[in-house]
Amino acid sequence: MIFTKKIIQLSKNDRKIAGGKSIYLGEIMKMGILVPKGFVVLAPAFDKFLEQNNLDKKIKKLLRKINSDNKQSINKISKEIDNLIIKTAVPKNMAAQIGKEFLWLKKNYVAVRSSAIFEDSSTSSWAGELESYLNTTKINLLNNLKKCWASIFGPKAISYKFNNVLNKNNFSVAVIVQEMIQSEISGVCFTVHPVAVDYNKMVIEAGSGLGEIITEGIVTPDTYIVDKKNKLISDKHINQQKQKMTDAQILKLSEICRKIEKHYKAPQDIEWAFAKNKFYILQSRPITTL
Amino acid sequence: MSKIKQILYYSRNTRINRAIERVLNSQNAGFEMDKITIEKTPQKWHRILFGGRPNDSLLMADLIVSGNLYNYTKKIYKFNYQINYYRHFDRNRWISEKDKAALNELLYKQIKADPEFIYKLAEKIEEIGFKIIDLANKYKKVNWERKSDKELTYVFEKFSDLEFQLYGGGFWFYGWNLFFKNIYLNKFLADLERKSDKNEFKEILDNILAPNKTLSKNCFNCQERLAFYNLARKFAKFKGLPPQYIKKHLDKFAFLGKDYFRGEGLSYNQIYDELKQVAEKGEKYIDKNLKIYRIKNLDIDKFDLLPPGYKLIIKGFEKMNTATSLADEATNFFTYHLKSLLNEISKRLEINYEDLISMRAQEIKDSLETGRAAVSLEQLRDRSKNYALIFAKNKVYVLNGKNLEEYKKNELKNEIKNDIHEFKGMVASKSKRPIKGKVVLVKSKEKLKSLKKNSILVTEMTYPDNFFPTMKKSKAIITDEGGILCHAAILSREFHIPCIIGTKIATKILKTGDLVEINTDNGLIKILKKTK
Repeated sequence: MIFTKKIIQLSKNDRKIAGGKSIYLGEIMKMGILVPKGFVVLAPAFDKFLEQNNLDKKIKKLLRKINSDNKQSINKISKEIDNLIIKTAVPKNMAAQIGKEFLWLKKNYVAVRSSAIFEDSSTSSWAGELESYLNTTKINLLNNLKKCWASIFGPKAISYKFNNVLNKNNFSVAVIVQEMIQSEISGVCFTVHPVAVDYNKMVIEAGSGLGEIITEGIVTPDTYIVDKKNKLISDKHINQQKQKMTDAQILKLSEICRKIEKHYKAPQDIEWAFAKNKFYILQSRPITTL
Repeated sequence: MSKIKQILYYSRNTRINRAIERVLNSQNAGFEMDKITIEKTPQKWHRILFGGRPNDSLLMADLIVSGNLYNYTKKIYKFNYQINYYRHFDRNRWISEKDKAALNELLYKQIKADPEFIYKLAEKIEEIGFKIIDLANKYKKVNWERKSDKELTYVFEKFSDLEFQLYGGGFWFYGWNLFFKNIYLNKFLADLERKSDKNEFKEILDNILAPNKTLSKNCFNCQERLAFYNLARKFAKFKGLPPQYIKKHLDKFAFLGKDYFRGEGLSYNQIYDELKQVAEKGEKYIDKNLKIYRIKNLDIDKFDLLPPGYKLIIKGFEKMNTATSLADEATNFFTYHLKSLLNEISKRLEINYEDLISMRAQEIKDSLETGRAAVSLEQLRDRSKNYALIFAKNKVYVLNGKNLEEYKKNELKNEIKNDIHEFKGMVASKSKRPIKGKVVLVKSKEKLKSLKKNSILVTEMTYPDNFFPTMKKSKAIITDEGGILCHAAILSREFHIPCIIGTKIATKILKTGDLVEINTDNGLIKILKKTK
């Protein structure tokens, strides 16, 4: 049984086993846009992991106990499931396949992120619901993989799902393993202005270092508004004394993001990073709320 | 003239400018000419310490900041930033907002590039702290009356230079009091909680990283308490103790009673009375306290799931806890054991001790060279009552007397002007009409439960983790930090909750119960009614 696939080899038909996030990355890679090199631990690997250890039945039993109004019950059950998954060992043949892919990357550090099978089912943004683990080494790769698997049962994820009336039994997740980009600048781009709902304006937010501090709202980033039609920067909100990106860089990034938007013919929410003079696309997904 | 201009941009009030001018002309004739002009924007200040020690002295304030004059942040700590503006008066300390922002950014970067940075910083602080202790040990038995001025100068100069190195121009003073303990730690804890095992997280939190943890292991204060409670146990058992036990304790630890250049050190009666009190509370109480001070260092390496970078950062925090108390302790060790040196210096300069510690270190050195106080007695008396020490672009200024009063009055006026009635942020989620409501200020996770329906949530920043359930209940959201594409902003749009983000100041200006109006067309927040 095949448990992994390289991102570049993914096709649209793999959506059910690789999740939307990885399919998008594969497609963007094929468009000639820079995406960190990587592979996906496919959803069947998770299913197999659950099955082999009889975890699936135990988990379903636990989930049935949830009382969606009671936050504590959600937390408790989520914790129990988490423990179950973390304690269980990854099957040997699966671990071997993953190890081989890791060697193929030829990197000491990787980023491990989950790619839920229905994550960008364009009804909910799942903003910040699933975990990612940066700077993972060979030693903690399998553990972080399990943590990613477990994150689909995290309290916020479970309660989020109840709020969005998703099927209780439909839990499946793929995990993306990519070379770690030590970004100098990183941020988010919405190819449509989400507040003004202006389809001609693109919003780019940029901050120094890892993108997490922007997506989590820990710092106030620079905000640049780009006029898509005239290819101009129409507005800038510089948060600290110095502008994080040069105007040329802003326009270059906006071109890349436009390309992705054009390809999908839908407004995109894009996470990006800038390192060693290159832009990398870390994630792209449709904007769910406009 | 330009040296005066340099100080002028602290206040735009011409009357005060003239006053400052007068002082500068009459007194500090030694200032170098400088090209900085009044056109430079006045600095916005950020207070980094509220109400420091009551026994504050100008000499100590100088030792903390003047390391900047020698580039010690870079030379000693390999940290490539030098504070540009710093001031100290009324026992408060400030750095400029610009410095704060630059320091924050750089510290983030530094830790990211080298997770061991905090540890190395602490190590360096400790290293210099021990150098000061060694220096004191070397000279503590000297009879200074018989030594020449030159010899006095030599030891004082060594000491002041080590102090400059120790505090590195005040950069880690800011770093520790604000950046590491508040800004960085909160983010790191949130991160750590997600990425570590629940039990491990709890153990780490309990032992090292709890934000309010003030107990530092390995420090002298901690050793003293341990020895003290051991004595107390004997005291309770034998209903008293022979004096030599207490004297021995004092030999080792009396210096801990010092408060930089003030205070006298722990006394026999003080320790005896405390022992008596504690002994009366019983053995259980003593054992409980012994346990507190007996904590061993947590072996962080045993958590093998934790990424190595995290371990280094945690170790850094642990070490920094000790290092920051050691910095104080080392200074106190010197001022206690070499009080005789300081007394002798005052004697030779024909001033009293109180006057001496109202001088800057450089002024003391200058005085020793000429054999008389470099600052007039009148000035010194004024300074010992109150002073302001201002560091601006590689120069140190001292204000006292009338000039200080006027400077302060002017600053106060500015503060009242800053009493803001409306402010702006970026609109992250719109509403059709302006929204009115009562504010609930939420600064920490714990208080979240108390949010009433239909109130306006005001917070520093919003993680989806802890804010998600609460957010849905609120009528609108206002944050200090964040951009319009962050998760909180996205969720607020998803749930149609009006949201103004990145105001920078909301949590500092608004209080729970204030009535505000939010306009999501332009991001303006108006305060309609303040609670008293």
